[in-house]
Amino acid sequence: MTFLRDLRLLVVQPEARKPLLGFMLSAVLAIFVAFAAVTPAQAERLIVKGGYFYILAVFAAWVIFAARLVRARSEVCLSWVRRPGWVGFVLVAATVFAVWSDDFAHKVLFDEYVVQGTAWHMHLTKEIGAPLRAFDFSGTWMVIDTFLDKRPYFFPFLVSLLHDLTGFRLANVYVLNVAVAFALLGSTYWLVRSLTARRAPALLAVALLATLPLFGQNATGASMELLNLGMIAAVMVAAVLYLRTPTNDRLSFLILGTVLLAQTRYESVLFVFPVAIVIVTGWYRYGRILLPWPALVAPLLLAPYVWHDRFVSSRPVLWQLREGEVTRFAWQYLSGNLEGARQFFFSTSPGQPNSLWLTLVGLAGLGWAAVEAVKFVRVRSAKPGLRVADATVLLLFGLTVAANLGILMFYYWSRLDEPIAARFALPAYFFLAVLAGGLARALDARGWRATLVMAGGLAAWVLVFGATAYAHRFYTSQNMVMHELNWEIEQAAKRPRPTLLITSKATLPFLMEKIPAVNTVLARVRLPQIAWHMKQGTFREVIVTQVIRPLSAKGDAIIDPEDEFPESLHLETIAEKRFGGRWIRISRVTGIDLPPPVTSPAQ
Amino acid sequence: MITAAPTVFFSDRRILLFGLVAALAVLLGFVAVPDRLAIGLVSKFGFWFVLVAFVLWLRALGQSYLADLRARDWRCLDWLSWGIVALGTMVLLVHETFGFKIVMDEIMLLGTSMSMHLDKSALTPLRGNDIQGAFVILEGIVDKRPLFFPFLVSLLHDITGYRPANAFVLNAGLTFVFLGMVMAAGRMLAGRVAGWLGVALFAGLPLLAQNSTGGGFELLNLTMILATFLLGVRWLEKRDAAALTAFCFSGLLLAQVRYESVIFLLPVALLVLWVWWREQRVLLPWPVIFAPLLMVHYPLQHRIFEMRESAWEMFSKPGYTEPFSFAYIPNNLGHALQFFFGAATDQPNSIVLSAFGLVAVPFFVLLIVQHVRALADHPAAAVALVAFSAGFALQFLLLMCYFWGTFDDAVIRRLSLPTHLALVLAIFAVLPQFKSPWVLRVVMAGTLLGLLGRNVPSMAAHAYSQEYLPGRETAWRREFMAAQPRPDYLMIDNDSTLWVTHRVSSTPTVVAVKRRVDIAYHLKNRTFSDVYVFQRYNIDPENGTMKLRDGDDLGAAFVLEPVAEQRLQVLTLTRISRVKEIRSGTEVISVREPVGHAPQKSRTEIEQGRRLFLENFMKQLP
Repeated sequence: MTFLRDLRLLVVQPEARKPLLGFMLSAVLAIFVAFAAVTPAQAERLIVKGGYFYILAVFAAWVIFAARLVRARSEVCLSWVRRPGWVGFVLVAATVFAVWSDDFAHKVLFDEYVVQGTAWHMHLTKEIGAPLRAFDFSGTWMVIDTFLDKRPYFFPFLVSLLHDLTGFRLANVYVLNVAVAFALLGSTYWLVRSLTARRAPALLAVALLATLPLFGQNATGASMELLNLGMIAAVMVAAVLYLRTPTNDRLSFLILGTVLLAQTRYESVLFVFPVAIVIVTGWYRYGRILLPWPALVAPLLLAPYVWHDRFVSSRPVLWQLREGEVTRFAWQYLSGNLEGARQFFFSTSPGQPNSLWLTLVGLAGLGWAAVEAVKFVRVRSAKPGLRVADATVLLLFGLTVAANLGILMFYYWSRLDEPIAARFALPAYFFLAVLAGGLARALDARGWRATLVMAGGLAAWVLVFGATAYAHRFYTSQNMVMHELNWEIEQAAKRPRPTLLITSKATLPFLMEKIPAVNTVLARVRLPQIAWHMKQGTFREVIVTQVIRPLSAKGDAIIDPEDEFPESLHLETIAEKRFGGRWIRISRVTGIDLPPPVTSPAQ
Repeated sequence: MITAAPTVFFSDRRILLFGLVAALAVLLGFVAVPDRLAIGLVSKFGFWFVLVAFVLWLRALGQSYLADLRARDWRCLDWLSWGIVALGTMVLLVHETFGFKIVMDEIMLLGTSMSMHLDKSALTPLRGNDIQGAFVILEGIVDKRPLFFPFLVSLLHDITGYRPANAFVLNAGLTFVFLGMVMAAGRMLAGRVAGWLGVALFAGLPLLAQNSTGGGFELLNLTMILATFLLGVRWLEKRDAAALTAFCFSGLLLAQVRYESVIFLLPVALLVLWVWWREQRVLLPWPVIFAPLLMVHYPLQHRIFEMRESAWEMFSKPGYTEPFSFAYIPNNLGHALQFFFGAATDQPNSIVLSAFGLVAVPFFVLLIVQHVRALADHPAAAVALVAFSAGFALQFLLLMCYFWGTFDDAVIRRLSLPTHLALVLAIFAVLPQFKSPWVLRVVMAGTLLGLLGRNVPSMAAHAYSQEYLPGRETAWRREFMAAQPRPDYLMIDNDSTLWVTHRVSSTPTVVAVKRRVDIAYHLKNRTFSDVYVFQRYNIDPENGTMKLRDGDDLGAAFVLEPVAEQRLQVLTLTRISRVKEIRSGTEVISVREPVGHAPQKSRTEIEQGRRLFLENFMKQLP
């Protein structure tokens, strides 16, 4: 109650009225612009045309405020850069370990290729969209059809920046993810060091995270998961800095970071709520209301997120629902997802990219944190100090991560023990690592040498379970679609160019390799056009990829119904290969029978 | 830790504890565990036993040497000597081709390292397949070979990812380490130039080059013998816990490199007892007390020789009934002489090393006798030499009593490497007895002349390895693997482990004959891009007819089409053929059925079909 009374006193201060009024106006305007002013179709056009410049502006402002913060503490920062010491060595070694633990590859196929495609399109046109069709016109590879993807575009924007600076190459996404992995481990170290005031627990948290196979899988992948985690950590660092000493620059850095975090993964917009509480807590601690210009425009900066969400909600085809599913969130998914989460977090099998040791010490840390949180809430106002800032941020962000995981348990595709969904566990694991560091310090203080014991336990886990997981990498290598796609690209690349490829998979991976490709569904209805181009010699060859599936234990193979073509399309098999329990067949189109032209009886 | 009173030498509690631990180890290793369980335990826990021993050894080495290394002035390092070691390593590595030289030893070791890397188990894979995008070992056996070499290769796999060539990387690295230690031993026994002489003698030994570029455990064996000798000297000098632990664990790990290297535990024990006796006190650090327990898997693994009679490989030499007998000595000695002094085209020997060594041996024996008479008056190196000369002598005697101890045999030559080391140590020991510096100069000149004039050409031509057909066939098969775009084919070959260790699906020919119907199922369902068979034909010199080697015949049911063949040796033809079809009587049972069109089935029903197929697919895997 004291808190609320003090806050009311702050709000009614005369110097706070103008900024608060501005903020409220901005909020009202943002709600109008986001929800009422534009239709989903208009929102789509706005994002496509202006999204790049919006994210560029937010990112540039964030970098400027980050530079200001660094300049304000240049001595501390420079001394660390000049003499990173053992901590620097451990951070580099941890990053190297994570990179070593898996292969550089596209792991979540459609997602990662769409991100790559969006980044490529951003690089070329400064518009947001993923290529759907592209062809070589007189030596120029031109995209002629794009679509706006459901994924937020901060990650593709960063990849496109790398393309802008170093030239286009698919591998740029790996460079970015490795850099983010290093920054994330650095932030983890900073947060735990700040929380515990000790180096050893912070290094333990870094080691727990770096040895997690899921971390290595994403550090060497092409997805946005690690950036999402990196942004959560960066926003937490910003929140701690702000709470320690609330200033306009620190607040601006925090707010802009939160906007970027919301544009990294769909559900990361949730972090707006703990950040809002942190901001208000900062006002309370500082005794005045801070509202720099980024804070004033923050509601408006979130409007593009709402547009994007409304656009996705209006296009069920983008939801990627499976057969029989009609909604993305429902109670019916809960029990399966909970079972999947239990199997994932506590698995000892090399087939799961989890870390049982991190789960156990993290959960112990969670218990410790719960007890400490109760104590903290009781004595919070008594003696505020540096640790209060860390504890507040940890509590608020921890609750948000828990809420995030809780919401995911209602999502239709969130069984964490499935290879595609395991990555959703990363924020939870990040928190468990931080909490384990906190617990280690708390027990060390009682003379239990917990950091050493936990480090020993980690070494034993790495030897007994981790080493087997890293050696097999089942969670990556058993991605059959990845193998299929690589083989199809390899086969298509061998054909005389230009070759048109018809596939039931996404066309993007082929387009990125400059192989003209059309979707099977589209090809079926555009057979006359394909026949016309074959006649004109536009393509040296037209090839088709089809999935062949067994129908029984004996085999009895059939062409997958989704890959069937009308009999008017004549095919000649050129290659066939088994992938797990199905085959991919690549055939050459030898002819297309077109229906005779319809003539009127008069003629 | 140290018991001062000589009267309580045997009543020391640590000695009692050590005795109890040793008795427990003997009980577990030889009595309490039945054969089948013993093999199971080795497969599950063998890796961990070696790991613990290795970590304790590294720890002891660190404790013993770190202070010395910190105190060392690196500017005063003998760069010239290390340059000579590097040059010697280069000579040994550049002339021979990297490859698996001894089949199946080296392939079995690689297989064990593969399972150690993938599952931390000590199994050699026999069957493996790519099922769902990842290569999975389906069946394996515990090999008779000790585990330290595959353990080290598996560490390399762990760090750099699995690849068969890691065995060569390890041996190349060990070559440098070994020559470095030869230099150190030479310098210690006879001065700096003698160290260079030792490096030159070994650099000119084609047999060592062959093993440095191979995938076998011989170089590790040699390195560990010399390391144990040097650590023995250090123990005699330092007489502290760290030196003793490093020395004992070096011996313990050496015993796990080659079967017969367990003999070197004798000089280790002799030197430990010698110091205790000289000091009139017992020094027994904790790791050494429990060391016998870390050897338990060795006798357990040795049960293989009792369970599988084939493990002695008596079938390789028809007419022999006992693996060891004194009766074999005269014959084996004759073969040894033929090896040491054979022509460069026939044997990978070094006449210079053999000659100087043979001259040095009588002097060395006299020297040893002289040392034994007044052992306490001699320096540590001399005492260690006495103990280790007993080890070398016993090892040589054991090999001469072995039914297949013929050093001039292509497969057995490598067993002479410890004897070569003994000869070089004998030269080191004898050289200081000659006052004139000319002796060393003459020996050095002769060695360099032999190196350049005979041994390097011998290594470059490596004619001595041409007669060993299995080695050449292995190299040819690896060329075939490298030429395939991807390892998605099935190879039928009695040496299936070779293919499995290269992550190619494989099954032995004898199994394929029995599982003809299963292979037909896979042909029918296009499981593999192709099914090949590896076969060797022996050609009759009289009429030129080709006859399949025993065990290579698939029978008339398999219709084959040759895809590659090579005459790797006179009167043999090695061939890889594609299995075109499989018949049952006159009916072809492997015909690929045409792919049908989708019936009216839901996605769930189609998915159910895929699951059923995968289950059956797993059962039918060859």
